[in-house]
Amino acid sequence: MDRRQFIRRIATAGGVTSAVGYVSLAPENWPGSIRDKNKPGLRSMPRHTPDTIQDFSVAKPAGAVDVGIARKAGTPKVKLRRAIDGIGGIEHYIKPGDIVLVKPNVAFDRSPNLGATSDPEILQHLIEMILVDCRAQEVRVCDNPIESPQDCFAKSKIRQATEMAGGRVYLPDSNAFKMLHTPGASLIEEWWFFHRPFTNVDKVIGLSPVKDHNLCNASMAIKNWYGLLGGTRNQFHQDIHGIVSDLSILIKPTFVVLDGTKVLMQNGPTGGDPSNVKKNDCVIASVDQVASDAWAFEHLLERGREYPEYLAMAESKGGGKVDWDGRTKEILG
Amino acid sequence: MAKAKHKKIFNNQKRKVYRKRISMREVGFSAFFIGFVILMGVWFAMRKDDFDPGERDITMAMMVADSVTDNLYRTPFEQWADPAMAAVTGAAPVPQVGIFPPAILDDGWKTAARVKEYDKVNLFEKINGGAPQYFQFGFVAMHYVPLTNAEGDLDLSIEMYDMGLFQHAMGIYAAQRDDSKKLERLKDAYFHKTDVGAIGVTGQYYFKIYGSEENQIVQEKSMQVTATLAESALGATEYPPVYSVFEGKLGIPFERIAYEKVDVFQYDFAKDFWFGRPDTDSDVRYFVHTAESDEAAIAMMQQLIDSNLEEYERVSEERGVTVLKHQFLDEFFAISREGAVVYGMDAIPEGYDHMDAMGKLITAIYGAMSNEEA
Repeated sequence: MDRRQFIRRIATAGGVTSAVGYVSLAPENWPGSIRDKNKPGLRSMPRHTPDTIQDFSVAKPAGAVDVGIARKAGTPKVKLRRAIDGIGGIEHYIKPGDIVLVKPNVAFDRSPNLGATSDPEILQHLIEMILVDCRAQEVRVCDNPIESPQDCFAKSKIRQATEMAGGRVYLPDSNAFKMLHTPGASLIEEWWFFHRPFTNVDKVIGLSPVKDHNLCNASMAIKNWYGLLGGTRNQFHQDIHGIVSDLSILIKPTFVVLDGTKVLMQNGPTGGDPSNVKKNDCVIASVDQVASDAWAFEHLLERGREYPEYLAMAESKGGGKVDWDGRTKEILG
Repeated sequence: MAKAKHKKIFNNQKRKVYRKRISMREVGFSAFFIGFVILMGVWFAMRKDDFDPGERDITMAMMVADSVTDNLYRTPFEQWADPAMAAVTGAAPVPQVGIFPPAILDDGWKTAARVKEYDKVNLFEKINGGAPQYFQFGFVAMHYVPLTNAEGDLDLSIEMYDMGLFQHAMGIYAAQRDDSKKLERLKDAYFHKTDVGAIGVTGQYYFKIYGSEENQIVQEKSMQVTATLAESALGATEYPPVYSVFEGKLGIPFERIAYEKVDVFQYDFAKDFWFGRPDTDSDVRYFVHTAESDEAAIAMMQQLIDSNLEEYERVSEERGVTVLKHQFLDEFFAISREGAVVYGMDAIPEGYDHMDAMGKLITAIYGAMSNEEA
C-alpha cells in the first residue's frame, strides 16, 4: 500500500467513525441527531407513556334529575336508596356482572364520628345495594390516604364495612400508580394516578363526606378524587382551587354520593372534636358533582351562595354546572 | 518473495472472482440480507431513544392468573426494647414515648405504634390541608402517638403541636376552639373536653386527644393523659407580659384572651396583636401590639388609622387617643401609643368610658414592664 492509499483509507475510517459518533451523540436540536426532542433522557431509562381513563358516566333515565336529595327519610339506608332513586335508581346505573369501584374519603386515621372520613355505614349499605340489588360481579374500594393506608382504613372503619358487605379493599403501593393523561387539566394534565383498582372496572362511584376545609372552604364530592393522585401531590395546595377544579375532569364517575348525615362544620379537613360535626338528616346522589357540591355548600355547610372559587373553575373546564336550580329533587319523609 | 510479502500491510491486489457462476438463491439471499440490514437501520433511526421497558412487563392478567391468596400470619406490632438493658439494669424495658411523659401509658395502655414526629416539611403527610393553618401560628413540630388499651379494642390518639411560644399555641387554640365548650384549667393546661377526648394548651404545646369511641373508658383515659401533660415539664413556660397583664392585672380569663399572629383586623401589615375582652356581655375588646421601636409603633398606628378611615370617620383626638366612629355600625375604635406599645379598644359601644379603660390598660402594661426590668 502506498502512502496515498493509506491516507485515503485512514480518512475514510475517520470520517465513518466521526459520522457515527455525531449521529449517536449529537444533542437533540442538532441536525441529524437521533435523540428524541420530546423525550430527553437515556435510552435505557424507564419511561412512562401516559395512560387515559375511560368515561364511566351513564346517561340518566328520562324523568330523573341530576341531583337527588333524601331528607328526613328514615334510616341512612333508606335515605341512600331514595337519593339514588331520585337520579333514576341504582339498577339503571349498575348492571349485572359489572365491576364497580367505590371511592370513599379515607384521608386520615380518624374514627368516623369525627366527620373527617366517609361514613362506614353508608358505604356498607351502598356496597350491599350494588352486590345484591344490581348483581354486580365485584365491588372494589380504594383510596390513597395521606397517612398509613392500613391505619386509615382500620380506624375509619372503612375496611371493616367493606369486608362486612362483601367488597374488596385495594390499598396503594408504589407499583399501583400509572401516569394519567387528563386533557384540559391545568395542574395534572399528566400525573400519577392510583390506577391498579381501575383495571377492568365498568362503573365508578364517589362517596364523600361534606366537610369544612381550611384551604378551599369545603371538601365534598370533587375534592374526594384527590385521594386517587400519587406523587408529590401536596405541592398542589399552593393552588388549591386549580387542583380541585382539575379533579372535576379527572374522573367522569357514574354518580357520586354525598353523605350529609355527619357534616364537619369547622376545623376541617381533619377535625378532632365531635362537637364540630353537625348531625344532619340528608344523603345526596348526583350525576353532576359540581351541582351537588354547590347545593351541599349552601344547605349542609350553610355558607350561602358565595361558592368556593373551584366550582366556577370546574364549570369552565367542563366538570359540570354550578347552577342546581331546577335540577334537584328533594325526597322527604 | 517472502521478503516482499512481509512488507505488505494490506493486500492491495484486486479482488478476483474465481467462480464461474453465482446461483440465484445466493443473489436473492444477498438482496434480502442487504434489505434487512437497511430496514434495521431505518427502524433504529425511527425509534430514536423511545424505549419503554413497560412493553416487556408481564401483563396484569397473567399476574392475576398466577397469583395466590396470601394467608400468611403476620405478627402483631410490638414495641421493640433492647433486651440487653433489662439484663444490665434488672429493670423492665422502658417504653419509648418520645417527648410524652411515660405516665400516658398508665392503666394498662400501650403504644399502638412508634411515636412519630412531623416538621414543617412533612406535616402534610399527617394532616394534609390542615397544615397551613398551623404554619400561620409559628408551627415548629408535631409529635403523635396512638395508644391502645390492654384489651386492644379501644384507641386513643395524642397529637402534640409544638408551636414554639405560648401565644402561638394559644392562637391556634383560639382559632379552632368551640366557644360553647366550657374551658377548664388543670395546673398549666387550659382545655375543653370533647365526647372522645380533650383539646387544649399546655405551655407552648397545643394538644388534641381523641379516642375511637364515645365512652367512659376513653373519657377517663383522655382526662388522665391531659392531667399527665399538664403536670409534666412540657407545660412549663414563661408567659408573655401582655398575657400576664390581661390575666393577672385586668382579671381577664384565658378564654377571653386571644393572640393573632397575622392578618390582624384583616390587614396584612398588622401582625402580633393581643386581644382581651374585659366584659362577658359585650364585644368590646382591648388590643395591644408591641413594636420593635417607637418609630415602628408610630408607623403601625398611623397605618391602622389610615386604613380604618375607609370605613370609619374621625371623631376626636385628645390626650394622644384617636377615636373613630364606624360609618354604619354604632360603634367606635380608639387607638393610642406609648413608646413602642400600640394599644386601644375596638367594638366600643356608645357611652362606654374607653378613656378610663385604656388608661388602666397602659398603666398595667407599663407597671408590668417596670417590674420585669426591676
